[in-house]
Amino acid sequence: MQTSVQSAVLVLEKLRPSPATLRAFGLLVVLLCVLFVASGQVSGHQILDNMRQAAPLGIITLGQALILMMGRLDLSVGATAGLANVVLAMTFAGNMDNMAYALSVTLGCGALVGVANGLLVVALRIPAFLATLATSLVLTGTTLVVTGGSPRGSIPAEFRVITEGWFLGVLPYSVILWLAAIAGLTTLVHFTMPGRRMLLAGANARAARLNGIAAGRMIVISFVLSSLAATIGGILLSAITGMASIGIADAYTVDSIAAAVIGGAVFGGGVFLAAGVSIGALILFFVQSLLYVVSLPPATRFIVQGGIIVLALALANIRRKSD
Amino acid sequence: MTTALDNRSVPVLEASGISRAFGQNRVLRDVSFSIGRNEILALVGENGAGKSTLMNIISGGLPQDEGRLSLDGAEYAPASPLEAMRRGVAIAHQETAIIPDLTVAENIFFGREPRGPLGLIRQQALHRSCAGLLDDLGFSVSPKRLGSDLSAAELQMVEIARAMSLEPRVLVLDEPTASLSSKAAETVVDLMQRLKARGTSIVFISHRLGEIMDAADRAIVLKDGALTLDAAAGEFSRDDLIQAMVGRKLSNIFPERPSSFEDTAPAIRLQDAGNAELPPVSLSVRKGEVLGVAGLEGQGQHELAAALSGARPFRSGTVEIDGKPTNLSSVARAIALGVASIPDDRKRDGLALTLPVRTNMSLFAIGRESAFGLLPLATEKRFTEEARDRFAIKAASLEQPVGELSGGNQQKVVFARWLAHTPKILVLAEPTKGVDIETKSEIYRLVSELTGKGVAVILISSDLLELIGLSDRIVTVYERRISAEIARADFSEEHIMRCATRHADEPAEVVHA
Repeated sequence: MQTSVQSAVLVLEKLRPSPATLRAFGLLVVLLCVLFVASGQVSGHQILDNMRQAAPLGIITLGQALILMMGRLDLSVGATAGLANVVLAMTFAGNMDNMAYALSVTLGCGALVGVANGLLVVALRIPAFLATLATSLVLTGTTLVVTGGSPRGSIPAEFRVITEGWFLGVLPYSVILWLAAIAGLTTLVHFTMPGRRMLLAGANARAARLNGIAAGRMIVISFVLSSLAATIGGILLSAITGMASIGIADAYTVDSIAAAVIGGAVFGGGVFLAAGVSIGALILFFVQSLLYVVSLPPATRFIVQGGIIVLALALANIRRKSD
Repeated sequence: MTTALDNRSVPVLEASGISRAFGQNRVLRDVSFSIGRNEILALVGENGAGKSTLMNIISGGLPQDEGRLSLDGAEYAPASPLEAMRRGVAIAHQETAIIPDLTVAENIFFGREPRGPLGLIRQQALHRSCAGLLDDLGFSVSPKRLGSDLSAAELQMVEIARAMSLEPRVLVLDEPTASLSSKAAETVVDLMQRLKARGTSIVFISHRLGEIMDAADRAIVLKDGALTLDAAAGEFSRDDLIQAMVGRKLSNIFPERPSSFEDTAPAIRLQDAGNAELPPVSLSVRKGEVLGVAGLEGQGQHELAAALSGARPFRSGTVEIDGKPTNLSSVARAIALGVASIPDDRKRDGLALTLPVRTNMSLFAIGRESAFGLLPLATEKRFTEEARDRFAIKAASLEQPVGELSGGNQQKVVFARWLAHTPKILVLAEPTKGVDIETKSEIYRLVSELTGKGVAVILISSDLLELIGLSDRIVTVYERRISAEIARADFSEEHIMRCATRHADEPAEVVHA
């Protein structure tokens, strides 16, 4: 009894938001205030609706954050999400009866990309950012060659309920999926032995091996999880657009890294803040809304995005220096 | 006229009263010596005796705090290695800085390549002058071979050739033979003799007493930063060198050892166990016994540790633990069998430096307690707090990245992890390398406490004092084979050093009275 209370306290301690998460949250609040002043209207419903649309980026960012925790980068998430979009539309062929087939083929392809990334890194010892860059190029090229530049098929309207529908009219399904991904990965990393082994393998694979951890396997698994997250992001994106288009998800690679860094991920690895990086993804999304509201050209988004990354990192460094 | 002059009367390089300190640590104390023309001077001393510091001062890498240098009678105070080279003093470093993707010629003339009108490197001229130099040195390697293709001996030769391309009057060689087999070392010694014949003065650092006796015209010995011997060839013996190197007192930081292990059962026994890197080795360690493994750097002791840890398993022979035949086929299996291995390079092989102390420390403690793959958070908290107190680990908090701790505290974190469960066999590789004296004595106490509980310890160390103070029995390794087994009664630094520098079948030298 006493130990279970003690465990509960420890679990809560672990779930307490980190300073980086709180900083990201503060930034988000500031952004929402600016948005409110500029547009004169910010409602809870509106925020949830934005979250609904931000869910693909949010889930992809979770995968990227996992790879960053391993001290690596995944430059193939955009191409993987794009692959998911094309494969899903092809296999669905506009018919809801194909759902099980379409989803399993799409997720299977995603998992294969992750295995390929992982093996390139572990077996061939290619630095992760180069390995995933190569994978990304191969995927983009393959998609173009196979589809001839004009992908076939479409997403049936009934399937689009996962991004358009709201659970009991209160919470969008895609947000529920996003929250589930946050919960799942948080549990894995912070509350399970495999997660701990993954963390050690990412930080020092050699030392992990000498301590009896199957470090290579852990690294491969992390890449599979990242690619699956990218695939799920691609599936949600497909549900939003309803069709397949080439290169539709390319921006996710850079956006997911930016969102993760804004949310407290560090390039040196060792840190996984699921809530923080999700807030990071939301920030990027709201920046776009804000620019739309104040009618600046969409391309200014990049300038603002760059500024926010600098701001987030500067805040983190100023704090570190004062420690 | 001048040719008739005695070598000693015209020193090329003269050092007088050289002192140097790093913070509180006095590395060199009032060192004076000189090198004559056409002379090979051997510089000998234990690890940390100050040899490399002295050579760095001579070759312009470091300034001295006190004392002066002169070159050909003129004041010599090089501000940089470049200036030292211009004055005619070149150094070939111990760890060769050969770039693997460049050719031999490009490596040798790196930064001094012959240039064409557009600043482009004239490849033909480069390779031609390199071939000339190598020919001159009597060194047969193609200038066009890549650095990555060279053997250890060839790398060392290229390093020497690079220093010689500057046509120095004084050539400093920092352990040119340390990483070489005795056969390959001979070729380097031959090269030194040829250079000497051409009029170059050579200072070389070496641990191989044999080659010092063969090649040196003069030897100087450093011990704890002070000169303890300076003698011309013929005036010193191998034993004189050893005596001058290690003659100090055992300090009293070592715990008492039990007198006999006759009645205790062996915890581990190897019978002709070996693998591709390690010729068959046989040894056994009793419960509660400390077996010391002594040897110069790179004599197979680390291959032995890697095999025992399961990282590079034994492929032949037999391994018995507690009398039962078994195998250490993987790290996980070795751990399961109760073999704990503390690595010598804790930063590379032991710790995840960016992760917190807690995460680094708790791996084995929580591994066994885990149910359904969940982290036992309560166990982790209890274990890490207890371990911090037990090992007196100084950290701001358990969440501090372990890379921010001092070397001694990092080592304690590694110990805490491996000792979460009392092992049967503890393999220690250089357990006190880079740790402060206080942590050292804590580690010694810990080893004593564990052996009291019946843990068998294999202690691999390059610190003779540590081996003598802690071991119940010592084996020496030389060229990857056990060259001698020494009982506690016969421990002496001189004897161990002698056994560690010759093969088992080489006759012992007559000890000078």
